[in-house]
Amino acid sequence: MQSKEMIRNYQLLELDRNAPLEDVELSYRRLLRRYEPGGLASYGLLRVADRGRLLSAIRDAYQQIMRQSSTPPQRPDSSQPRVPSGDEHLASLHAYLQSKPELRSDVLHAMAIANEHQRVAQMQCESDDQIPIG
Amino acid sequence: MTPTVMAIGGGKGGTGKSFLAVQMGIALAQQGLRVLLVDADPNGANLHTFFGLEDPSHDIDVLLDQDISTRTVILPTGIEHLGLIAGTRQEMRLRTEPDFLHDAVQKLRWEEVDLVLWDVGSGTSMWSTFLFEQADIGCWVVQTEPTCIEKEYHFLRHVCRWRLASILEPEEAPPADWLPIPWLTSIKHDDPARAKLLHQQLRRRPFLLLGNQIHQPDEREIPEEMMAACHRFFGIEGHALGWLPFDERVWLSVRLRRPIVLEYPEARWVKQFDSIIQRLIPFLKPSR
Repeated sequence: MQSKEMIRNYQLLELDRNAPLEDVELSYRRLLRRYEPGGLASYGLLRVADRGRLLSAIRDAYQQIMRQSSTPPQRPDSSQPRVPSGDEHLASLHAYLQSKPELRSDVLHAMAIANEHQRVAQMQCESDDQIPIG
Repeated sequence: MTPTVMAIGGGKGGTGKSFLAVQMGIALAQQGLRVLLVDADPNGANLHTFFGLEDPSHDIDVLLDQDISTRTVILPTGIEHLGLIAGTRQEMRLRTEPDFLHDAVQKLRWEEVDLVLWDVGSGTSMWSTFLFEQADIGCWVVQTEPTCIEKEYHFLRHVCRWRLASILEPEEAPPADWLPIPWLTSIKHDDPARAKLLHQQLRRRPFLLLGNQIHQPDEREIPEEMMAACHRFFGIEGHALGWLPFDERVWLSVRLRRPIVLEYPEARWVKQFDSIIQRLIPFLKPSR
């Protein structure tokens, strides 16, 4: 029998309460990518502060599920398509950059701006105490 | 016989809606469906140009303004089983009276074909939204640049507001920057039955979502992710049909005024488009 808190954790990860750990891992990565700066939710879907709080709640939910699990999480099946995290997304951009040296200075400039957006977003999240959305 | 009507629309111009409408019309006609392509874009109709037609003898304005049958304005496209109603090259005389809109839908839902494709253009004008919501299926074409995604969220908010307009009480009017699901969550707290009714209204018709002009491999997941976000925050059901790559041959075919599926059947874009068509066909079977 799961506690209400644990059921809520699975809901935050957009999963059925009986979802296996492999699905928890996949969904967590997918949601990080959605709510991190530069993700789909950052383009006018949610306010910065709401997005930051949702991201924080998702991270907490993931960690609680993993802590409660007695077995270590299985890595996702490598034969299945896997959603990269935000860091992997940046790594993919780096790889692209390597193949296009003529774009290097432009991309580095864009990444510096993205980092600055992320820093400002983080400050806004920390200074705002609105109720989380959803 | 009742045809299936699919409207092709979206929030932002230039995503390839008209181009896709033409290629879909040809591909589905080649599958044996009788297809009517309708250029209902009020802001710059151009489907005729994709077929190399320079000066259409009839257009949608004539059909909507006069008491004539749909058949009289259908132009041949040179493709078997595929006809075209060209858009007006003037500024479209958009009218919003209920009788006019009702008659327009009746005329554009021509019953002598299996499938009618309406290119309704981009944006949130009353005409485009009305047609998008009157069709049996809405095909939503997006690009994945940040500015495009922002416009698509704006479009979704508008469609949700439109869907609820007929049953919302004046005091229930949602704020301008609303998100339907969090908004419904607050209603559910006080009135679960009301929230359920509003949610059903939002879900009344699914979307098909198609990402176009995809440059990077990691952008291919975006249509699927947008559909998930659409479900999570807007309460709209739908299916991501997939993605189509950026391909110079698209530009070349437009310059040549020849459909890419005929001119460059070996192009990367066409190969991927073929798989999209196979995914699309099951949604086109008449359900009514």
